[in-house]
Amino acid sequence: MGYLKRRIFQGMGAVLPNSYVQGFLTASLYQGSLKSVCSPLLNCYACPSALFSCPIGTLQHFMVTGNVPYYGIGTLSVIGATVGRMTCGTLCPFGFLQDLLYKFRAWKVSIPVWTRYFRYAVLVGLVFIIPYITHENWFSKLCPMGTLIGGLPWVTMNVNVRSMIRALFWVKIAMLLFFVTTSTMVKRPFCRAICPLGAISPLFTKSSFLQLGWNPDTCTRCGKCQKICPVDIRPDRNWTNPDCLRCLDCTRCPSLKLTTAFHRQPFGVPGASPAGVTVAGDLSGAAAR
Amino acid sequence: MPRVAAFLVTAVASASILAFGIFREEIGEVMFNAAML
Repeated sequence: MGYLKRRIFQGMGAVLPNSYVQGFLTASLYQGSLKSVCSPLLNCYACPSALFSCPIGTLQHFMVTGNVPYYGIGTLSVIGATVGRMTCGTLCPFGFLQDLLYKFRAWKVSIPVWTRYFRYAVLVGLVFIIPYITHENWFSKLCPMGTLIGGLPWVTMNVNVRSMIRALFWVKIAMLLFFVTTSTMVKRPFCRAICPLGAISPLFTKSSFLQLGWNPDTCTRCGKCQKICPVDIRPDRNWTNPDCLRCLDCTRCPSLKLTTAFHRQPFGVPGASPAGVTVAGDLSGAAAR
Repeated sequence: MPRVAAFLVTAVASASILAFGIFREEIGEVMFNAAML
């Protein structure tokens, strides 16, 4: 997928699920039938313009009421089995925001790989166990995307909501500012370390219909794929890495391409192409974009 | 072949969980919860 095409998809992923503009004009929530659909994106359903339900909010709601969220888990599983984590890389509005923030000229740092385990702790703790015990949606209460497109618009529009501001609201604001700031320095810090959706969808990376294919015959291990990767992984070392967003930025290199679980030889006969013939130069300057 | 089998097992299991959720009429509860925030 081309760089511009992914940005267009991300823009659509930000705009289309939030296209109930009337919600902002009348300070109301959309209550139509689309709200029964869990979009596989971190998109707050308390946003006045949100058309779809937040899958994490849905999972928590069922835990709060003491039920197993078959519908929410099933929806995420079907999408995961089809496209893997592609929705994170190509549609998620909060991922898009982090991608844009990383373009700012700032001190760039990388975070250790083990931080990925935090998001599993967030999923199990804040989405399943703590809501089940306390009967409160704790992840939603702290979610920075909820603060950005749900909390802030409501506080701005509605005097009654403004009067209900307590210390927790400022904790939410601090968390949002923390992730906005760190996103200018680290590639997608929220997706990699915190997002519970990013803990569910990697479970399907190796068994999804869409797969990333890597050609060892043509790869020169130049590492440019890591420079352009939005989550800082090297697909040439592990092309089934659970952190892979399937954004397909790295497929600008001919040694990597999108394939399916049914393609045994996506690059043709092994050994047919001499190493490095088609790779060099294709990713030149890509990291600077 | 293992990838195809893994995909088919995952797809069938996922579709079954989703179908069970729909059968339990969870869609209505999701819509009600989302509309009543």
